[in-house]
Amino acid sequence: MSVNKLKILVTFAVLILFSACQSTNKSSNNPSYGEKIIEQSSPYFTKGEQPGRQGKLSEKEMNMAKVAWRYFENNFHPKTGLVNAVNNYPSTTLWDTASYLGGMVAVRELGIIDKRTFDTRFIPLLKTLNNMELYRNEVPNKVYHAKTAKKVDYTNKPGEIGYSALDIGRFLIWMKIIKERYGEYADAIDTALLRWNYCHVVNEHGVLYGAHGKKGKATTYVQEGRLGYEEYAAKGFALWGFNTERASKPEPYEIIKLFGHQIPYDSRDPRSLKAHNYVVAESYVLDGIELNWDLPLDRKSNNSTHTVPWMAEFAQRIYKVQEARYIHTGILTARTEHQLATSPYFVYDTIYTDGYAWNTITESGKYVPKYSAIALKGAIGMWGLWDTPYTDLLFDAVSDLYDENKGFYEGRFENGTGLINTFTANNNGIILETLLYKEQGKLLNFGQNRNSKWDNIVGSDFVGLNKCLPGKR
Amino acid sequence: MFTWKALIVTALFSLTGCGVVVRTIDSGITKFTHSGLFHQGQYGELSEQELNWAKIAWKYFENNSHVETGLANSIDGYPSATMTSIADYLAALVAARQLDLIDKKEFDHRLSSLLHFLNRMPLFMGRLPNKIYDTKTGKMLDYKGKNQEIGWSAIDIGRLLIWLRIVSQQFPEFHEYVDKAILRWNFCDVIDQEGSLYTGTLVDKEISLHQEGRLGYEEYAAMGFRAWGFSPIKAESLNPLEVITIYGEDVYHDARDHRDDNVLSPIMTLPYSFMGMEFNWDRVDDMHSLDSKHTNTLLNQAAWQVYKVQELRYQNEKIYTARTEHILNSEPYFLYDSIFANGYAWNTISDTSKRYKNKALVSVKAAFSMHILWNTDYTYKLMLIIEELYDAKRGWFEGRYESSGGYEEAISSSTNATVLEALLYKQVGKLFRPNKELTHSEIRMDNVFKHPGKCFPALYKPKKETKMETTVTAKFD
Repeated sequence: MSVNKLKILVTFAVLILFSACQSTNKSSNNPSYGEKIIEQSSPYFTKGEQPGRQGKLSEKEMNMAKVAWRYFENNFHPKTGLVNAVNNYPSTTLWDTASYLGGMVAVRELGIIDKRTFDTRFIPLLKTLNNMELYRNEVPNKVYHAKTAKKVDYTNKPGEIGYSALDIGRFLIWMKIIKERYGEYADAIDTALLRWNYCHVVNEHGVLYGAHGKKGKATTYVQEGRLGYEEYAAKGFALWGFNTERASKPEPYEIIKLFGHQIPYDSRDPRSLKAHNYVVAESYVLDGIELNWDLPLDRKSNNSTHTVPWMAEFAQRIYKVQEARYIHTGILTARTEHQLATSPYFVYDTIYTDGYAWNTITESGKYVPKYSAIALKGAIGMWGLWDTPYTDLLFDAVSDLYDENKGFYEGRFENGTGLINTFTANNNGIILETLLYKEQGKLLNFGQNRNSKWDNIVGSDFVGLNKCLPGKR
Repeated sequence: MFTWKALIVTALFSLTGCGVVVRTIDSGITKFTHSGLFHQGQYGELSEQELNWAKIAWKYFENNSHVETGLANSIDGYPSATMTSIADYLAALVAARQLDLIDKKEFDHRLSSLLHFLNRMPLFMGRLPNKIYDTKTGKMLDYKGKNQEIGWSAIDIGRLLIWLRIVSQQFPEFHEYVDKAILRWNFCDVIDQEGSLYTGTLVDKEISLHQEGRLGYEEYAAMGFRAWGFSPIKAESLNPLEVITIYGEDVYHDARDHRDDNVLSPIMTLPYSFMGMEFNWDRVDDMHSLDSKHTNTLLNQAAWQVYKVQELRYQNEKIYTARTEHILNSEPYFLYDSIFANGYAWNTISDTSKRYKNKALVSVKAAFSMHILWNTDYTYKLMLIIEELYDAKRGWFEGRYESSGGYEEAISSSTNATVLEALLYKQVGKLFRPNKELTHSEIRMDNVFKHPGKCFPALYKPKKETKMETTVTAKFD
């Protein structure tokens, strides 16, 4: 060691006298995964940070509701009571049927249709539900022909493909909302749901399973649902009394920081499990509008209190990060899954998925950034739940994107290449739901606590066996 | 000398409360001057075991060097070399000499024949070293092993520039021949006005230029260019940057998206280890600061993150983790065994982004350099599982399979040179030690009439220019 260096050493040695014990081994802190999660069962309440929109619809908003309803007028099949999921294409799923029911409840409540119209549309649907062929005697098939109510495959040819627990979950939420709002349909709804066999779709640990099965092949059951959608669908099952313990937990999840916001995503690995872990607005928006991010059977708390605090918090982050993207990049952002008018017809247009922020992928995982869009249902949904200048701007961007004869367009491309020239039940239904939310708040509006047919059969030791109804596994 | 020691001892006594035990004045001095107050990681004479480790690593270069050309193979028994592997060989040579594994005569002979090669080798289109050379014939090669020029890599050249500079700092008697080798090159296409680095490849007989380097190796290569007076301002900047979080620890990642430009940006240990061992995560021109202080703060932070998440993975999963790029004896022969790549933590991918999750290794070169640089309980544990991964007759293996515990017995110049570098670092500290000695190349660049042209930096330029440069580099302070 040179004398020169020693000189420095000495000065330094004197200096450090003041800085007592200094360790060069930086000790490890406990890793933090973002916000601590509160057990759902704990009696904890959280105030929403952002009040949603409240009040009577303006003339413009009422007109929007009428435009959105046009879609369901055009695509209705009186014989089956079903509605096309996509304009003029006679095929639908339980998810899209739920969106239709959301739309129909909204227009009835908003006075756009009267009770008689509701009856003439809903009673054939109940008939269909009580007659339609289930997937291998379990629960409804993923897809039905809207005109014939026959089970079909994805090409709309007769056949069967399995079922989706997420679609069923959303459908159960809407069955519950209608049953609670309009007691006159309760028994028919119960009868339809009592036809189903729940043994596989939700297991003894409260995990949701989807099914795949083709003609001549045995059914394979796969855990279904990722953070956001999984918990939302689980609430549908929980509303009817099923145990959804594991599905209702946010875990397993990780955090990615985007524009300073801690965004949760499902940490089950899409590379080995195939299911994408997309983070989009829709699941959080639907839960907010329909269930106010509350516990399924929360009958009491008001709209500014959310009894599933983590979900309210995550929803808040999902909103905030989209606002932040606009602030930092100038790109109007309302991301969710949506349809396209051309191949690949459907994309997950996400905040995060499969490793990347603001990723837009097809079902098979192909990166297709040119299909990123402001999804109308996402934009309007956020407008309903968060009353902010940014959602005002989103509203201005999308509130007139409709064809008055067909309904609202699916979206507006982020890259400026125009509108997504397609019309769907899901998009128009969610827009209607949101408008109703502005007038009424949380859409699940519990009626009187009657003892329904469902309750009686679930409560009986002698009937309704072998279907794994709540408490009968 | 004695007075200085006495002074230190005075200082020491007030420190004993902190757990520094002073038995005798001498051992106290050693312990104190070797402590983390003055050095990063490990510092001190090598133990017998460590010397033996160094000898094993040097064995590789004994086996794989060619008298005819002065070159060493990049992979055991495979007669080809890149500029990176030539830098490996230089690092190994310097270490072998300074750790006294070889005598002055052998060192002189090996270094001289290598310098002779560098001053005679054919250049790609007469401009820059080709990506690959045949170590037996000294001819340029393509990837299939045919005698053909294919282009250059700025990243490989960057590492070579660093080691040529280290050689000329520490063996100034050779500096003239080092400088002459570099003065043959043409820098016009490899670095641009804004300080980005470019790779050149031959496409339809024309040179096609592409920016080269992603966070990690880009900054490392830039240090080589900086060391020779260039201003690789964009390359040495950590931008564009994004932050990803693994086990709660933030890690820097290159924000350029491989899906848009087809360039992968895996986070790996080795470039950060090199920057630690060679530069102590200091600014390139830093001649004074203690090794316990890192004057390139951002880089030091980035390196720490890379170390830390690997330790955290061990703590959280009990999976031994020391990751970096490595070769292997089976398909696909080379992997980016990363901390983070293509959207996923702990992603092990080939250069075509294909995932090879069962071929992740506890890498010998990553573990060795982490142990020497950070010296923690965790790195001791890492050493326990890699310290026997060698063939005494051939050198150190690449590593141990994370999925099975088995050995990957491929042997490379990269791993063996890194082992030697790490052990040398323990003995001497920071390897790149700039000084004020005037060099042949500086004289050439400082004089408008002797200037080599070819886009070499012009040290005779008006003072204004140089001022601008210093303000930019000062950002790292």
